[in-house]
Amino acid sequence: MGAYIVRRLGATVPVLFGVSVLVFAMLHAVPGDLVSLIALRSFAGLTPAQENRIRHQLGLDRPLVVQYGQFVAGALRGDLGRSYYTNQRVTSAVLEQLPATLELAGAGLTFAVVIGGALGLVAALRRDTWMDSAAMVFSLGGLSIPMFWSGLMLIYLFAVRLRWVPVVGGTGWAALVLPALALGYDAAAFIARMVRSSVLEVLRQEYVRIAYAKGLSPRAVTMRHVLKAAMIPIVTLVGLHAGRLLGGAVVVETVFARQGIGRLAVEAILYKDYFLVQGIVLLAALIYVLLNLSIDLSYAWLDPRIHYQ
Amino acid sequence: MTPQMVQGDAVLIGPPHAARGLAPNRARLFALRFMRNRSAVVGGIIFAMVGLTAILAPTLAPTAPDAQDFSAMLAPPGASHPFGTDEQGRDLLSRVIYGGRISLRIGVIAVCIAAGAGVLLGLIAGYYAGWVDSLIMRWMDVMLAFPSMLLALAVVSMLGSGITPVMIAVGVSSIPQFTRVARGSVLTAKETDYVAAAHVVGCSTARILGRHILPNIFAPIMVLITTGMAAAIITGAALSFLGLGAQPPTAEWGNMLSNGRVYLENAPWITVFPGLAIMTSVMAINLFGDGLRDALDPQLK
Repeated sequence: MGAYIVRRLGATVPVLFGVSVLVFAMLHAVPGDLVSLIALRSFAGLTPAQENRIRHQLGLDRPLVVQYGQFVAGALRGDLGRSYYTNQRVTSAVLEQLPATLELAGAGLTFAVVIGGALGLVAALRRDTWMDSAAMVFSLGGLSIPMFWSGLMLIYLFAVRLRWVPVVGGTGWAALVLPALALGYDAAAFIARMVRSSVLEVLRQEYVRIAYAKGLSPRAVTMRHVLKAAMIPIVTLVGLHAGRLLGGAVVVETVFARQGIGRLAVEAILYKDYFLVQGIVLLAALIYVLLNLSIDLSYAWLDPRIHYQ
Repeated sequence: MTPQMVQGDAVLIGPPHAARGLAPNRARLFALRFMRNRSAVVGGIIFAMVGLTAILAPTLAPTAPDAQDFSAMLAPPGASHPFGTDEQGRDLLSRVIYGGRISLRIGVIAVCIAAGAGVLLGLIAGYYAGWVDSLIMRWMDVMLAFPSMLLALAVVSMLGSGITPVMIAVGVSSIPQFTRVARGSVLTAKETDYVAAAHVVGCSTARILGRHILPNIFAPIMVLITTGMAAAIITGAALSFLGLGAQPPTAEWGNMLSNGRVYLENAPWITVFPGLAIMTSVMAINLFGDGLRDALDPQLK
């Protein structure tokens, strides 16, 4: 297991290197010159001398390799430059918005795991009954209904028609429930499908038949063997879906006019605030890579049979 | 494989001529399995209808997508405007029909980009192995390290807003999945006797890849194309919804939804119909794709 951990950690290093190169390259692939974009922000325009000073301040007049080195060194210190729109530090702008997004993603994921897990389990245990069909229709809906539309329909139904929650804003759980539903539905659909098929798989296993044969009650078989099987795809999907949740947050935060990194990202792109875009993309990739790393490591701990390919 | 073995196989599966016609047989078997799956057939038909509607938009739509009817602004669905009208008095049925042309085109072209580049890279990685393989696959790992929506956003931020950038962004962000699947299938196909035989008789690499290996990865790639198209339509519409894709006044489903948000209270139909259109198309593709997967690989079911 020690060797596995070392190798898995080792495999992460080139990925992080590639991520840093790609994110760095992003800024340089921007059409037009960064400095002239900044110049557009100032009312009076910039003299060529001023443009050169900014170029020098940002280090853009140095060779690309040096710039990359500075970028990585800065990133390691938590310095990703400043938004040239608000002049706020990119790291603090992102960290300021992170809790709101994590709250939303956490609530969405909780909904997805509880509902998706329960539906998948019921669908498998009551295979080929109306409950199975209903759960699979629910799941098909989650895979086919875009979040921005389900979000808008939830707002229409619960805020505009029924007036149970405020249309926008609001605080506490009322403001969180609808966005979490919109965000979590897609993940719930995936989880329901995965749990269903892995539970069906377990039900076919020898040891489950033996458990029944030796007179264990169906409830005990479910609790002891089947639930365990249902847990594995959930753990896997949480890792895979963290990325989708982050991507979904972009849409859901916009629909519900919530604070968060997703909304920050969209605004940064619309305002061409490239340092901010770069910071958000880097942070999102970092979270995603580290989360999947920890999930892979937790597999090794959960299931000693797993080792590096 | 010795002649006797071929003979033996043929005896097992039927009369000797059946062995020669294995490929058409497989295709017929697949078609039979697929046609038996009613929801998959329905999905296919619905999607074909959605596609045809988009193609025939100028003939089918009651009005041009940007024709304004000033006597009926924000009119609810009714006889003269089955889906109602928006704040500029534009007929929503016509806009939904025309919108499909852009939303579906984004989905189709994005998938073509992803499948084209992804399969090519996967073929190369799987066939040549060694450092080429490592280089390509490490690069795919890096791309997979970005949540795909974030990757698409990053590409759009570089290319600027618009329909073409969105197609490229959505396409590029789903290349790695195709590469992985294609590479995996090549690795399996490479070990088969007929590929070894093709080598022996001196086939060129391009011929081996194109004629002997590519047909083998057809099935998994087809499944990925359908799921990829469903996802691409949603992501494309999402980017337009965020204001990064199709720009007003273009009729596009995501764009129309974003426009309808403001009128959710007074004219919910502006938001309802484009969303229904996305849902119908994506659901049809998903049903079709599920049927395809089950028919191509019954063991997965």
